Amino acid sequence: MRQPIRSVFRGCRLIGAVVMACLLAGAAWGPAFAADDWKAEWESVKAAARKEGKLVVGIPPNSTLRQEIEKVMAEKFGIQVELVLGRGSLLAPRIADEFKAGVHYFDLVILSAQQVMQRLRPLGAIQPLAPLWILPEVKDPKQWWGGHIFSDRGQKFAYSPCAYMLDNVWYNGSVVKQDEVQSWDDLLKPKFKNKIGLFDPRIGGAGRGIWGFVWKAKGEEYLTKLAAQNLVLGKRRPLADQLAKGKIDISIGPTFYTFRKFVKAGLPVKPFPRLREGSYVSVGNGGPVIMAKPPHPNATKVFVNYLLSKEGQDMYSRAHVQATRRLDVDTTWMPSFGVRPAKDNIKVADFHARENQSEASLSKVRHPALAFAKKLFEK
Amino acid sequence: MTATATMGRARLLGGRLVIRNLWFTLLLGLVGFLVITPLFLLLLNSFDVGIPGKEAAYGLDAWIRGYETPGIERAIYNTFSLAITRSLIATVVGIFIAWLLARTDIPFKGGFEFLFWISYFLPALPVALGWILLLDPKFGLINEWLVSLPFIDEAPFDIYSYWGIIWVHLTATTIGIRVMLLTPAFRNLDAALEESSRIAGAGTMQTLVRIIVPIMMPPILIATILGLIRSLEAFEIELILGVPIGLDVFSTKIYEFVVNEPPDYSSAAALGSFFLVVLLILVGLQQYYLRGKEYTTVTGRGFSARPIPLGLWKWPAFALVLIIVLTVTAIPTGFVFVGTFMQLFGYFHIADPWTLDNWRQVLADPILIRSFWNTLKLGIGSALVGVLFCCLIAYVVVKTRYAGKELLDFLSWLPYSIPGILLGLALIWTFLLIHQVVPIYGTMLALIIAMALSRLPLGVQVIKAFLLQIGNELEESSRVCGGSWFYTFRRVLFPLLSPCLIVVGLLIFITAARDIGTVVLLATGKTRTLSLLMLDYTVGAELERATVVACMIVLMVVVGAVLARALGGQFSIRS
Amino acid sequence: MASVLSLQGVSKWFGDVKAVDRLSLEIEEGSVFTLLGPSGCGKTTTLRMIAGLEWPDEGEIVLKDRTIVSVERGIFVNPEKRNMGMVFQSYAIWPHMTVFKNVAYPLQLRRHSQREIREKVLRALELVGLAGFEDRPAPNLSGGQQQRVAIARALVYEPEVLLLDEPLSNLDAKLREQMRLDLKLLQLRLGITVVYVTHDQLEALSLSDEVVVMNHGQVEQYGSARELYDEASTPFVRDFVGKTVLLKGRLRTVEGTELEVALSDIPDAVFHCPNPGMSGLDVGQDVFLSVRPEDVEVGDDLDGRQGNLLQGVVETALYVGERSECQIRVGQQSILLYLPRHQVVRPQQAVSVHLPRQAVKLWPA
Repeated sequence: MRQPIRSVFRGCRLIGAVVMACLLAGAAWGPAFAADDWKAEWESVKAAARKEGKLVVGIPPNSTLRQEIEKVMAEKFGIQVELVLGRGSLLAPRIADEFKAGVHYFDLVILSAQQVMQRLRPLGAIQPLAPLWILPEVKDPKQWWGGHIFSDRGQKFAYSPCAYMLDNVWYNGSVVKQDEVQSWDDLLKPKFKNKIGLFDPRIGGAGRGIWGFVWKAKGEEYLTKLAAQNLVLGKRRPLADQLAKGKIDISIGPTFYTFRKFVKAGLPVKPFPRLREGSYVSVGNGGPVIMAKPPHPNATKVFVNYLLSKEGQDMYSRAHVQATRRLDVDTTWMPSFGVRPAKDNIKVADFHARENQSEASLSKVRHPALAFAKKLFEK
Repeated sequence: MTATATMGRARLLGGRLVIRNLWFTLLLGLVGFLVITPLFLLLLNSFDVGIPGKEAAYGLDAWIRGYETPGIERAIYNTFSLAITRSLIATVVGIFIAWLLARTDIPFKGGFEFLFWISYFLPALPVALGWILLLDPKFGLINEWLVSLPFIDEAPFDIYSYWGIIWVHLTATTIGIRVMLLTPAFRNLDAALEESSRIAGAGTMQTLVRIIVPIMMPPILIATILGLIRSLEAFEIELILGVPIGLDVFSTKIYEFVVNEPPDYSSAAALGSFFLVVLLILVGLQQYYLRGKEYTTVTGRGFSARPIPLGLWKWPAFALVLIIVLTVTAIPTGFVFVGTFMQLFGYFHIADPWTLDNWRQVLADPILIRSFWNTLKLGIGSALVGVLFCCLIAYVVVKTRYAGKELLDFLSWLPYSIPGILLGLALIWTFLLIHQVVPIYGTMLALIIAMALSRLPLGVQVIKAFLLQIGNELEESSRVCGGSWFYTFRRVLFPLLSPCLIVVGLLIFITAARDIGTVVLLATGKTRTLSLLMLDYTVGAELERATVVACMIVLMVVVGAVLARALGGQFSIRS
Repeated sequence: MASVLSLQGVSKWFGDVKAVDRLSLEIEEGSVFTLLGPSGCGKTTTLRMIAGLEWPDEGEIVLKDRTIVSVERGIFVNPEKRNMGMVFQSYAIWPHMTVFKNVAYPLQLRRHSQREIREKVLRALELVGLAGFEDRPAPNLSGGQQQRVAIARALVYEPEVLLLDEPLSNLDAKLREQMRLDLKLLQLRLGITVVYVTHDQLEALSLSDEVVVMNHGQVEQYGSARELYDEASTPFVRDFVGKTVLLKGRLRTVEGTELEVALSDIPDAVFHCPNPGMSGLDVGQDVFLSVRPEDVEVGDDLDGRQGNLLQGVVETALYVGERSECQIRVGQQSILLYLPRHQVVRPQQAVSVHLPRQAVKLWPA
């Protein structure tokens, strides 16, 4: 009974090997035709992806983004995307655990450098991104503000397609006048004692971004003084609530994203337009990070190329309200949503000076800043 | 003589007994594996000081980090003080209400019981927000109204306080669950027991305290211990109401370790092991107390369920229960549902406070239907699997002489020794560990098992307490007259247990439908549930839409509860 | 008659206590077989082992030609496969069913047709005098009615053996008497084999064809009701079955079939009784004289009697209707005797007590 089964199995393997060989040959042939033949490759990858029919992607929790991606991938490429929504800090450890157990469920995840480096790179669970690029518009660094920017030291895994600035300091217009606060130093005025809320930097996210920026720009002495104002620590929505109700006068951390509804409802919450020290530059939730063994390699390629194309970046910017670095995508509408795209506002050099999410900045800025926050707030 | 007897037993072991015990041992092994592995993996992790990707190294660093967190002693004190206070209040109130509903002629009792169920189904977070809206010291509507009265200059209530936390807990879940668990048990009381006490000259209240409470001790103890452990582990309400005023509890400390980036699961697990100790003590005390006593109330002899006439007290009692019921249901429900129609939850004074957009947007979300079906599948699946296994375990523990039954009983408690926020993590490791052998990771089955497991202690213990009330002869008489074990279970035990099974099933259902922590780790795109949709909205600063989803979950469970009640009504004891 | 049920060397341990100790019984078809004994003697355990509700630790049980339990051979037939009926001490009426459903249950699981079930259930209910009660919720019935439901349920499927575990113990005296009669009539009518467990010797004696007196998990004695009452073979049976007057004495002489005993308490009181041929009775040995209270004659003037006379004083006399129960002091001992209802005695009255020669038995002390 066993013999025939095994031989069938062997036969399958043989066919597999032949197919593999053909594919390898195709790949080897590829570069020879390269320049114009990306279209053929793109078509064949799309066809293979359609055959795979499925793709598993981890994305940040955002219902609009989820709906857009599902729709586009199904309609445009015939791929059913299984989306797993979650913060990077949640998805990355899960993927790491899966990888260790030999489970390969995800194809790619949208992640920032921190998670990639801490959880996935040491395991060898991910592969470099650039080799997956097929479309010239994606490959071409000239299409991107600042060229291709990776956040990891090796410039391989953690691509950063977005760069933008946010208004992180908001005030209640019925108690505070806009010109009362022009620089971070003004927050130390005695009248704001007990009246400033801070998105707890120990939690993560935007709170940690702004904290790291102030730590770098103003120093620990300043932060000690700020903390002496008896900061109200909290999460985004409760802080927004307290600001809208006038329990606090100023909030540090929550952005337009959180205040959107409050503004729409006509509540007197407003951002300080630009403090003298400027603001940090965010790369948002990061970019596509590819698993070492994606179960749907072709669909993965399709998704990466689409996501980083003009069309994909437009979709992503609109759905997730994080501004792309792609120069051919219109982002001029974004300031009215509290987002100032880096490409429309600052120089590339400023970006590198002010971002704090790359692997280098993490160890130089965010980590010491966090350690200081713990020292300051955990007594 | 002893020698021959032992030999006799040994010989019988060679036959049928072995087969029967084999099944029990299989069950023991399965339960043991499923509850010990997560616990073990968590503990192991708490000693792991290695850097990810590097060689594993072990040490006490995480434990030191965890227990040296500033303010941890205070947090432990707060935890116990809060949990014990509200458990005691809830148990006393719960016993009283359960007795009124089950044993007296108070009007509208069925409706009341159902309303208490609903109060438990309501999601804690919007309920807490609703109470903040009413009792915020500065803006609370009740406070504002009271201050506007003469002679009151200062807001009398402050929800951000020790008693505020207790109040919200009591109204959100703590009283509801007591009534849910105790009312069916109280219904199994033979009126003769009460009547004999009354004839002996004890008043109604005296009878309640002296006779009924002692007889009902197994369910009361179980409900109290289950509630106490859950109270110790609670953190959501404390996070909103306690942390802003510097009132930390043990679980919020664990929570911080888990949610702060990067998460420190090792320290969280080290702290979490504290609950294991508490659990061991509580379970030990409970077993010591119940040992060697009889609690059978449903015998094959006359069983009179005649309700006690309250006489003059009928309407005052009705009014009291009505007030409690309205406090725990109407006010929170009102806020939860009203909140879904607001632009901004709790802002009544803005230009255009009301909107249908929240519902419209949620209903238009293409993932809604799929999430709905997944939630339904998960809820029903875990309720069925959970009830089945809880029932089996409880049965083996209470009704057989299986040698390992005490171990089985003890094992069934263990999932409660893992704080909810760590359980998901521990289970994902467990499923990954066995993935090469049993590839259920990433499937709906894994989620179902996880959810059933998370409520295993509740299910087993509640059914156990209920089974203790049912006399063995009811089963034996069926066996003798020709019913197989299964037939007997189906026709005799199942109907008698059904009120309790329905409650357990619903509790597992609502847990599964509402759970986020575990599901978010185990779900895939295919098995996404409504609770994850809720999470998306919450993270996306769409609290109002999240509440819409929460309402849908409540509606789903309420419909389930109505169906279950209609179904269960066909079985219950006749009087 | 053929033995329908036989137990061979059956034992059961509960922890370190041997509840049943190598018990062997033969139960004849169509008989009422009673296990009589004080609580804790192992009678209920024995019944439960017959029913299959307990697993024996050793021994065999054979039902007709089928071995239903054999520890040695690893045989254990589940209770539902034994085709027995059982009435529990607490009736075990299912509280979630009506009377009809309770009784119909065994038929339903035997997959009888609806019509047949209805017929049989109604007939069984009529048999136990509960016609018209079928739609009542079972818990609403009185104790006696519930017991009848339990009996109807145990009989409705015509089991080979009916097991009764103190079914009358929860009833009041009047009802108990009524049910005892009903049970006996029912059994006679159906000709069913009944194994009956009771601690009430009156029930045992009146209902049974054969009685086994159990003590400490072992058989003390078995026989017909009359044999047990009249010819108790052990002191336990003598004391447990019926009332006994015991007088301490010493065996003075053995003359052929005649024994002579001097009472220890009362000087000069000499009694004669027939020699039962009991071994181990030697001259000079301490012995007990036993006699059933109702065999003793009490009177002012019993001079006509030949010896075996005692003088006593009435302490109390309780008139209980069909007789008087008198405590009479003889020597230093007070004995309970039954007097015919017409004989009137008063406290402090001096009386003569006569123990008829044939009624006196001798036991080694």
